[in-house]
Amino acid sequence: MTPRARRIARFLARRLAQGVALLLCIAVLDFALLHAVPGDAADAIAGEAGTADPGYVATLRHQLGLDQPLPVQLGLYLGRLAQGNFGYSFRYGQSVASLILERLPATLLLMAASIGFAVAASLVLGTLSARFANRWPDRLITLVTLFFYATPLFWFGLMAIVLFGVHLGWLPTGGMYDVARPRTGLAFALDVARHLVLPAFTQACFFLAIYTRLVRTSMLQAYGSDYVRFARAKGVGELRIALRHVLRNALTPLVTMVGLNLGTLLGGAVLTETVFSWPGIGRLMYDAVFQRDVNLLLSILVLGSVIVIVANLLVDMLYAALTPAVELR
Amino acid sequence: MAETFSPSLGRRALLAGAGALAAWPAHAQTPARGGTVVMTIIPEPSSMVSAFNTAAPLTVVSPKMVEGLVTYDASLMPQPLLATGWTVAPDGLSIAFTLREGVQWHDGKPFTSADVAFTLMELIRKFHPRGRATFAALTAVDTPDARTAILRLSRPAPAIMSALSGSETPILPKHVYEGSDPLTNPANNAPIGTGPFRFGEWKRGNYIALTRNETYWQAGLPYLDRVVIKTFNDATARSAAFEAGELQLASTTPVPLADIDRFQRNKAFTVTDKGDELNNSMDLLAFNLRRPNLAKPEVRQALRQAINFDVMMRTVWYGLAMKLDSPVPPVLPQFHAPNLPVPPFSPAQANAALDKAGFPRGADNMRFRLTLDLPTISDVYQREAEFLRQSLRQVGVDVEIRISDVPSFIRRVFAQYDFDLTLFPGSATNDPTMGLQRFYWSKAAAPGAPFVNAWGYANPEMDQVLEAAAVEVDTAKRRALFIRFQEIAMLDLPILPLALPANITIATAKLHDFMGGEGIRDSLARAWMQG
Amino acid sequence: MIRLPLVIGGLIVLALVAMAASAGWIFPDDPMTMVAEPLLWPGQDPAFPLGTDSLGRDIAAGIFHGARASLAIGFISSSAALALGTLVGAVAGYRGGRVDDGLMRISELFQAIPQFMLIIVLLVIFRPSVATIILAISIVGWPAIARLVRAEFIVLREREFVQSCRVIGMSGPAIMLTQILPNALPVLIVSGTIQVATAILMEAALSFLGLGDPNLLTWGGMIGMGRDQLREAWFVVAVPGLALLITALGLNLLGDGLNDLLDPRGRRA
Repeated sequence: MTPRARRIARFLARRLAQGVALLLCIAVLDFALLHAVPGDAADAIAGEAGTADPGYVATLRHQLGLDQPLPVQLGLYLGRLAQGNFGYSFRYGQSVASLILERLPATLLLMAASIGFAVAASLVLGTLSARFANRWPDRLITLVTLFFYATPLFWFGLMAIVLFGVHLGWLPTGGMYDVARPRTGLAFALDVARHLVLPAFTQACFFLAIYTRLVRTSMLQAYGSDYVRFARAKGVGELRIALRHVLRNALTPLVTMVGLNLGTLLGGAVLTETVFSWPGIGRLMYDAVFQRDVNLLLSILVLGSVIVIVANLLVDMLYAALTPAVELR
Repeated sequence: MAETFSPSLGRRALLAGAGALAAWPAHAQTPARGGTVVMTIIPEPSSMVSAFNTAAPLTVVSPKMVEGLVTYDASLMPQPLLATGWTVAPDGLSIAFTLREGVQWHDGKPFTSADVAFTLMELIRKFHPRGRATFAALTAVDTPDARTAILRLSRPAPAIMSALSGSETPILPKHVYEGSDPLTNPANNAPIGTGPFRFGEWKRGNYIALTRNETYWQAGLPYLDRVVIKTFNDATARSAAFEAGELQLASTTPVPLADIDRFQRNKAFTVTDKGDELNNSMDLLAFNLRRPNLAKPEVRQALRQAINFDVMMRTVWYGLAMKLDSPVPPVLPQFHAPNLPVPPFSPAQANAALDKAGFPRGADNMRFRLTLDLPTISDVYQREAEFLRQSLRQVGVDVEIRISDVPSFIRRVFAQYDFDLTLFPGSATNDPTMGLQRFYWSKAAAPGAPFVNAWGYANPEMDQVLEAAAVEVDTAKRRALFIRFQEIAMLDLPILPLALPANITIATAKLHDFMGGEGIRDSLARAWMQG
Repeated sequence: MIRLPLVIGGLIVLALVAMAASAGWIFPDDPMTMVAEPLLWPGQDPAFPLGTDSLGRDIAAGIFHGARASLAIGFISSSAALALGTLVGAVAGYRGGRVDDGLMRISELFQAIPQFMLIIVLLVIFRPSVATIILAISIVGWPAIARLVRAEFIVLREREFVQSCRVIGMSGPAIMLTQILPNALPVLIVSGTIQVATAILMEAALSFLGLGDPNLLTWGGMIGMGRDQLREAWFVVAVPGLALLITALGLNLLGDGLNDLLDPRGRRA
């Protein structure tokens, strides 16, 4: 092993250990948080039913194990978690793992499409903005991205549905695919893609403005820095400067921000999922809060935490790759 | 058949018909076989059977697959379904059902009286949220043969005959549920019933697919091949899906109230406010009678007089609600008391009454301060609360609105009694004993049980009237008792009945006969799609 | 040299503050009072130039009074998030090692719960009110800022000018405050102004989900309550939406302007 490889291995081992410890803290914190919420699943189910006698509520509470002391519930939950068992959803009467697996792909697809689009677009727009700083292309880009950003997402989404779904009839108004069609092959992929366009674009608008601003700002900084001046003086070509020095430097904050957004992956799309009837995990989680479906909620939260921890780790490694001066420690 | 309202009739006309329930006339056209209807249920049901959870979405999806002993006609009289006939003993202590021949469960097993006995005794009586109360008098179900089920009662229970629809008391297969924990039985999510549609698949958060039951006991039915229930979580998105042709049927006012007018003017849609006659969800405002100021009936009457009901119907519901002068809505003419002497809207009289009651205006022009608790249900609810706040402020009562999600709300109001005023939905159902007794009967109070008397209301005469009505078999005498109930209710005013919001159903004009007597809880056996 | 973005942005923000301050004079009555026919279109009745909402409340009065709560939510929550985030990020980035590890793991603890969910759960626990909304938004806002600041500090602390300060014996806090922070300011200002707009938008999103404060008028609340009329009376949402857009624009221009002003290195040669 080279010293560098050994360093990386040591780094990974330590972060992994920290990650597990952190996860345990988060699991307990989540548990405490969710039990600080007034009312439980029995209240939620009885409330939905419109009426229920006390016997029914008591039966339900016993059935769901909610009548046990909190430390016992916590112990059972951690024990289950250690075995990788997510338990049973109070509301859906089905295993949490199967519920999550059913909804996760939709959210991953939506987020990958929207973040991917936002990153690509922001690099182009941000670079243009920086190149023409304080001139009209910069102003125009600022205005447009800002318009997308400051428009409430649900309003933008709903208007897009009315325009493209109802008036123009180009795209479906909601859902992830046409239920009536066979779900195989290229036709299915195209069908999903058609359904994905509006929600992905709507969700991307939210990221786009921030990303573009970040790229613009850091590129301006980089252009003004000594090493770019030095490179210019050495006679390095503009394109090479832009790609090799400036963009690379500008990527640091962008990577941070994207990393942060990866962290909000599971819950961040709840509004988009609501408006476009996208069967993702954000809405599942949102509903679970109001139904006090603690098992389901805890599992999604823990899963989200794993994603954040991994994302942060990746971001730190990317820093090191982007900025040679920074070392993994 | 649902009628389409011409634009000239306007929104108000939609409600004018709600009181008088026209019988559904037989359709002139010949129904066509085949086709798929895409509908939505709001919100997505949490399971597929309405036996252990009676949340509204479940009561809509369940009857498509699982049937009851009877169904109801437009005047809410029981009609044969799984039972072909029944006799109530003169003393009211037994009800004998004759069951239909040749009915099969979806798994091919025959349906018998054992299923009825097991469902009522082991499932409904033990695990149904309302069934424990409705069937409290049920001591046994005798099954002398496979086609006969006799309900034995400890006392007369006339409300039972109103509670036997597929949505309220679904009959489930004994061989699937026996020996299992009914609450976690997988069949709750993939039902085995006797209904016109079989469970197909359920992609949660996405859609539920039901397919035609080829061996349904009514030959030739259902007409439709498939029913797809898609999930839509936003009202404006639903309205767009309707207009784009991606959605064909939805109830419980699926689109924003402001959009209803547009749908009514569009010939491609059928818009109706009928179909919820078995449920009748009202908006009620309860007073916490433990508070010294609210304990005075004259204060409660004064607060009622501060509310301009006509303006409220128009602004909060765009005219799509019926104002209430009594806890029994006019859509139940057999029980409703018309022309109760309730005081009119008059801020002046309200002010005078509050002054007289010993609550003069203070330095900030306010007499006292109240909290108004409501659950997060819809923005209509919030608008309603804001309307009430502004109305009460006009007579010097300051109101702080507290919105909490449903479980928090239930804890706060129905377990901790921590509220002054509370706004909540209450279903009158089709029988006041089932729907309303729980709000007014002093013995219904039980901390922790949602949507029962949590206001500390106790009036011996009221208790007497309710208890007598619950066991009265004579229709006329029962009606008289409920008239008296309404008089006391409006005099004591522990609860201020506000409105019966219209439950709007929208369907594509191509879809016919999607509502039987059970309205939006119809099995869709006779629904058909025009080519 | 006149800096146009700075001037325009500054004027917009000043105008907003003036609006919020003068709301009580121009519209002395409770803006929640139902004063006219519901859903009057802008211009239909000169007394209500911006129209009325579905309960017949004056939208113009709502915009003025709403500016107070919305700006308060935006500024208070982002100041709190910015202060905490900068402190944590700066210390973590500059000190590195154990301190960095510890602080970052704490911030991860907050970050690891999906933001929007954390806000919703906090609001369910504490019931939605302006105070709890501000608290919830700041709690989820600071880790992101901490991470950004830390990233800047990690890069900057290796630069020659910082190294030389260390060589001449400057103390850590002094270097952080006088040498590194000014260089990290551009990113901070941009994310700060974005944070203000984000907070205001977040409140709108919460109102859309029915988690706003029903006792106080905010732009977000007006937008949320107007979603019923999105198709038939779009101005109910568009008017406060436009106010939001102008605010975001103003904050952004102000941020850019300040950025140019404070960061001479950023200016192109």
